[in-house]
Amino acid sequence: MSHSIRSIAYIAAQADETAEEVAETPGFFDNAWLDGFQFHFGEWIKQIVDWTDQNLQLPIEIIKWPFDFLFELLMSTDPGRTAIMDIPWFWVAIFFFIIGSAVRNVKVGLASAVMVATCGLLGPDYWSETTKTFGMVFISVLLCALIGVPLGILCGRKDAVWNVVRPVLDAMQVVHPFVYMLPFIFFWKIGEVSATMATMVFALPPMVRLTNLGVRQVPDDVVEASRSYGASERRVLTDVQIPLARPAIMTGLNQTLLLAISMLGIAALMGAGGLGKLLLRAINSQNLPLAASGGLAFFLVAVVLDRISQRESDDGLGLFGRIREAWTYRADPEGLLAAKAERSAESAAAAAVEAAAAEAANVGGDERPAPVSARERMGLLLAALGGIAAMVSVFLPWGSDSGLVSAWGRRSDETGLVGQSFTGFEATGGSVFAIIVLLLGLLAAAAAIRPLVTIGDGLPRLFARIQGVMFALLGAGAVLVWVLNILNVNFRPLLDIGLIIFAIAAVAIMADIWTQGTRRLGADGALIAGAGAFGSALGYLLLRPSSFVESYSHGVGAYLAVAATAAVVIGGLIAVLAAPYQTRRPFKLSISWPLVAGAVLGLTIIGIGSISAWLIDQRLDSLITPEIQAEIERLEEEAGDDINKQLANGQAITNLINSARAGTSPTFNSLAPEGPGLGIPAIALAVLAALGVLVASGLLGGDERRRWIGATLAAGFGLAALVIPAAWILSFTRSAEPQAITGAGSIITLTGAFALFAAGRSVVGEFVRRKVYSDSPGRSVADDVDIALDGGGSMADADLVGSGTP
Amino acid sequence: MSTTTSANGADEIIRLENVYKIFGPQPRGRALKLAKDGLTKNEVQAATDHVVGMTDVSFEVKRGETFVLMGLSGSGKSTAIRTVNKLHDITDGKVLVDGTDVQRLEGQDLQKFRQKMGMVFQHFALFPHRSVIDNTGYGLKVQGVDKDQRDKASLEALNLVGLGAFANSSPSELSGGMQQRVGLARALASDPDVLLMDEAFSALDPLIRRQMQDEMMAIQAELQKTILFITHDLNEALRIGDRVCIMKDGAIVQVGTPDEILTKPATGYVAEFVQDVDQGRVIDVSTVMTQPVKVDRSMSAKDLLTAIGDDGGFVVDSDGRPTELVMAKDVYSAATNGDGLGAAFSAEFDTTTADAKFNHVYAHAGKGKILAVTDGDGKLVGVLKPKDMIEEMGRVESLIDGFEREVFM
Repeated sequence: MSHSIRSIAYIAAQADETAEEVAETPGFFDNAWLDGFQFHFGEWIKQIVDWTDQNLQLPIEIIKWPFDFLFELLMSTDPGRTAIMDIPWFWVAIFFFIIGSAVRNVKVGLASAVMVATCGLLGPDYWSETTKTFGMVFISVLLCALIGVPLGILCGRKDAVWNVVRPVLDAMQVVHPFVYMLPFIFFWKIGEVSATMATMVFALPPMVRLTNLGVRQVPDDVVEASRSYGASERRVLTDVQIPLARPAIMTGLNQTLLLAISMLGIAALMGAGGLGKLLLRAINSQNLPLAASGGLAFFLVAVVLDRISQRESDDGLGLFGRIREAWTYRADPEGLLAAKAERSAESAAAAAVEAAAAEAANVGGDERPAPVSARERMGLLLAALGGIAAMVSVFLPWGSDSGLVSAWGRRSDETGLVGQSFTGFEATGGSVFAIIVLLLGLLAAAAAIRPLVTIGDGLPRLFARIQGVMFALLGAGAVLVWVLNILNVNFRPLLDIGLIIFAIAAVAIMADIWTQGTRRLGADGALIAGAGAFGSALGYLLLRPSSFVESYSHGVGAYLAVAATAAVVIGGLIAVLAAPYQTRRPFKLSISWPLVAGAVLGLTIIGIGSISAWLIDQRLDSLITPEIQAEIERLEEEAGDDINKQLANGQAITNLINSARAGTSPTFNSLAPEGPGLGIPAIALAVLAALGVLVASGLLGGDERRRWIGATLAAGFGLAALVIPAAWILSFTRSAEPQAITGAGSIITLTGAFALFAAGRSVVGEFVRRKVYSDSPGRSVADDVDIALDGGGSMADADLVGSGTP
Repeated sequence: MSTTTSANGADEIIRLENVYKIFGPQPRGRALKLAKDGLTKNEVQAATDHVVGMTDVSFEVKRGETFVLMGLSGSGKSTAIRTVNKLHDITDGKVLVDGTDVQRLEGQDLQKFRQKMGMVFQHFALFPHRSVIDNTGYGLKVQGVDKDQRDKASLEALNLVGLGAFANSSPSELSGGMQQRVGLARALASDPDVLLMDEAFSALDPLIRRQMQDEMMAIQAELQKTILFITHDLNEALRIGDRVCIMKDGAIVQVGTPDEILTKPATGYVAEFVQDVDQGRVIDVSTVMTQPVKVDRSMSAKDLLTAIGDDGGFVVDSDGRPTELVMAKDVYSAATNGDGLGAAFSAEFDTTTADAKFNHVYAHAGKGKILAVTDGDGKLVGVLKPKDMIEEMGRVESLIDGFEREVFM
C-alpha cells in the first residue's frame, strides 16, 4: 500500500515538472500547480496500524477470542469433531421445523423445513456451504445482539451515551464496507473472523437503534409508575423498559439478520466460507449452474431465517418487500416501527372485523357447522374409502421386471431384474409417485372423514400437550447431542430416539390440526387432495418405460392407485355438489380478470414446459469425452480457493465445455416419443384445471356456488398437474446417476401448474361451510341484547358500580 | 368534608417551602434569580429561555386530609406532585414529608421512602404485560413481599374497587374506567400513608368520572389516607377536596376550603373559574340560611308582623321541631278578609337540613315560602328565605365585576 502511494506521489511530482515544461503560462483551470500540494494520510494510518499490530497484540487477540470460540464451537474444521457442516440436512430440517413451530407457528416451521430440505437436495457441495452460511449468520447475529441490545438499552436510558453512539452508527451505515475491510484484514487476517467483524459493522446499527428507540418509547408514566412504587433503577429496567421494548428489540434482531445476510457476498470477498464464496467462485468461473443453485440456496436461507424471526403481521409482505423495507429504513427506525405498527394495526383491524362478524352471526346462540346431508355423506364416505384404498395400494407391487421411473436415471434398474416386483415404496417401484399418492390419499381421507365426526375439547388439549412435551424433549435432546459432540462422545441410539420423538410430535401436530379442523378439512379439501393423488397415480401409469428397458409390466398397486384416487375424485365431487358452502364475504368483482389471466398464463407456461427438456441424459453425450472431463476436473482442482486462479481456469473450463457442446445434446422433452411422455397427462390435467379457473373467475356465469365448484376442481387438477413434474424431479433426486439430470422443462411445468393451483385455491379460500345456529338454554334474549349493545366499557362500568362501592 | 380539618392543629405530613423548579440547561442560573425576584413565568422565559415549573410554592398537607392542587396545564401542579416523591428534583426550596427532607434522599433510602406512597396516573400507567392482579401487587412485589401474601392483599384492594372478578385479565381487556380502578387498587394495595393522584380521573368520561369520585370519597371515608390530588377541573376539586390550592403559571394563587374559594375568590382568575361552578353543589344550606323567627298561635296579628317582618315564621313544638308556617302576606290577607288569624297558619311547608347542598333547594326559591332548616334531630335551626336564595345564586356574577377582567389562555 505504502509503495503505491509513494509512486503516486512521485508521478504527481513528475507531472508537475512536465506541466511546467509544456505549458509555460498555466491557465485558471490548470491542476498541475495544485498537484504539488499533498499530505500523506495513508502513511499516517499505516504507521498507526503497524504500531498497533506490533505493540497491541494482546487486545487484538482478546477481541478475536469470542469469534474464535464460536467458530471453533460451531464450525470447527477439526476432523475429529462434528461441526454443523457434518450434520445431515434431514436433521437440520427437523431442527428448523421445531424452531419455526416453537417461535412462530407450525406453518412457518413446516415451510422452513421444506426450504432447508431443498437446500439439502441441491447436493453435498451446496449443503456444506449452506450450513456454513447458517453458522456465519448465526454467529454474527448472536454477537450483534450481545453487543447491540445492552448498548441500545444504555443509549435509551442515557442521553449522553446516545449522543456519542449515534454519529458512530451513522458513520457505520454510511461508509461502504470496502472502506473498512482492509483494517480488519490487517489485524485479523483474511478469513471468517474479519469477515464476521465487517458484517457486524454493517448489521449492528439497526439493533442498537431499535433497542434504543424501544426503550425510549416506553410511556413515561409507566416508567414513573414503576419508580414511584420504589423500584430500583435495575428493576425499572427489567420490569418495565425491557419487556415493553421487546417488540422493537425483536424487530431490530430481524433487521440485523437481514442485513447480515445481505453482507454475505462481501464477507466472501474477505475470505469467509459459505454460499457467498460459492457464488463468488461461480462469478469468477462463469459457472451458471453453480451460480443458480448457489443463488437458490442463498435465497432459501434468507427466507427461512427471515420468516422465523419476523413479526406475525409481516407475513404478507414477502421477502423482497421486507429486505427493501430494511434498506429503506436502515437509518430511520422510527419510520420502520411506524410502518410496522400500521401494518400490525391493519391486520388487527381486519381480524377484529372478522371477529365482530362472527360475534354478530353468533348472537342467536351456539353455532355449529351445517349438518351433513345424505348425498354429501355418501360422497365423503366414497372419498374416504378411496383415500384409504390409495394408501393401501402403495404397499402392493407397482411394477415388475425393471424400474419404471428409476430406469430413466439409473442404469442398474434397466435390465436384469426380471421376475422381481417392487412396491410403491421402493425407488425401483413407485418411487416418489407412490409416496405422493400415500400422503395425498391420507390427506384426502382425513379431509373426507372430518365433517362426519364430532370431537370434544379433551382431544385437542391432549394433542397440544403431547406436542409441547415432545418439543421440550427434542430441544433438550439437541442440547445433549451437542454437548456430547463437543465432548467427542458418539451415542448413536440418541439419534434414533430423537427420530421417534419427532415422529410422535409430528403425528400429534397433524392430529391437533385435524381435531381442531381447518376450513379445508371437508368435501373440497378431499376433492383437491384426491385429484392430486390421482394425478400422481395417473402420471406413473402413463410414464413410458425407458427405451433401454427390455421388459416391464405394471403391478396391481399402480392400477389400484389410479382406481382408488379416481374414486376419491368422484366421491369428493359428489360431496362438493351437495355440500352447503358459502362465501365468507361478498365477492368484490363480478368477473375476476386476474384469474382469467392466471389460467392463460399457467397453460402457456405448461405448454412451454412440455416442449422443454425433462431429461438430459449426459451418459449418452459422447461429446464431453472422459479426457475433457478429466481436464476440467484437473483445472478445478488446480484453482482451489485462489480467486485469481479460479478466474483464469474458469475461463479455460468454459471454453472446453463450449467446444465440446458443439454437437447436439441428448435431451428429451415430455412429449417426445422416446422420452418419458409425462407431458401428456400433465397437459390434460392442466387444461381441466384451467377450465376450472375460468369457471371460478365468473367468466362463465356469476353464480357463487358454481364458481366455488370450479375453483375446487381447478385447485385439484392444478395440484394433479403439479405433482407429476414434482414426482419426476424428486424421483431423480432419489435414484439417478450423476450424469442423468432432470431438465428445466419439468420445473417450468411445475411452475405453470402451481399458478393454476394457486388461482383455484385463492377462490376456494373464500368459502366456508355454512353455519347453523341454535339457542342455548342458558341464555336469554335480554343477555344477547346486552352483548349487542355493549360496545365500549361504559356499560360494564355502570354495572360494576353498585357492587364495587364498599 | 368537614371544613374544620384545616382549622384545627392536625399534624402535617407534606410540606413544601418556597419551592422553585426551573427547566432548562442552567436551572440555578439567572432564571432562578429572576424568578426569586418575582418575575412571572412568561417574563423569565422571555429573558432566559428557561421554563419556570414552580415559583415560590409553599403549602402543607395535613394527615388524613384530601388536598387538591388545581390549575390549568402548565400551571406547575404536576411538577409539584412529582417533587413530593422526588420523581422531579427541585431547583430551590425544601420539600418535607413526615419530617424527611426529600431532596436529600438517594438510592435505597429513596426507594424505601417511595414505597410508603401510592401514585395514580392520568393515563393509568398500568403495566400492559402483567395481569391485573400482578399490576395491583406491584408495589408489594417491589417491597419483596412473597407471592401468596401479595396476591391476598391485591385481591383485597381489587375487591375494594369492585374488580375482584377481573384479577387474571390483562389490562388491555378492561375499559378506561376499570383500568383506573386497577390504578387505584395498585396504589391502595401496599397500604401507603400518602396517595398521590395525578389527574387521576381526567381521562375518564364525565359519567364514569363522577362514579370514580364518589367511590374514592367512600374509600377515603373508610381508610382516611392523606391524599394529594391534582386536577384541572374546579368542580372536581371543590367536590372532593378538604382544601383546594389553585395554581397559575407555577405560582399559588389561593389556598382555602371549597367554601372559601367560592365565597372569597382571591383574584379575578379564581373568580373566573368560580363563575363556571354550580355553586349550589358545594355550598351548604347552613351558609345561606338565616336565624329562624319562632312564633306561636297566641300572638296577635301586630305582634306576628313585628316578629316576622316581610317574611315568615314557624311554630315549633316542645322539642323545637317546626309544626306550622306563617307567612306575612297570609297574615295581611287574613286580616283584610276578616277571617280568623288561624287561617294564616299552615301545616304545609318544605323542610331541608343544614348540611344539605344548596342546589337541592333551588326549586323552592320560586314558591314564595320560606324553608325550614332542621338539624339531625329535626330541630329548627334556621330558615331559607327565597330572597336570600336568589341573591346567593347571583352573587358570583357580581363578584367577578369586582375584579379587572383578564384574558386567560
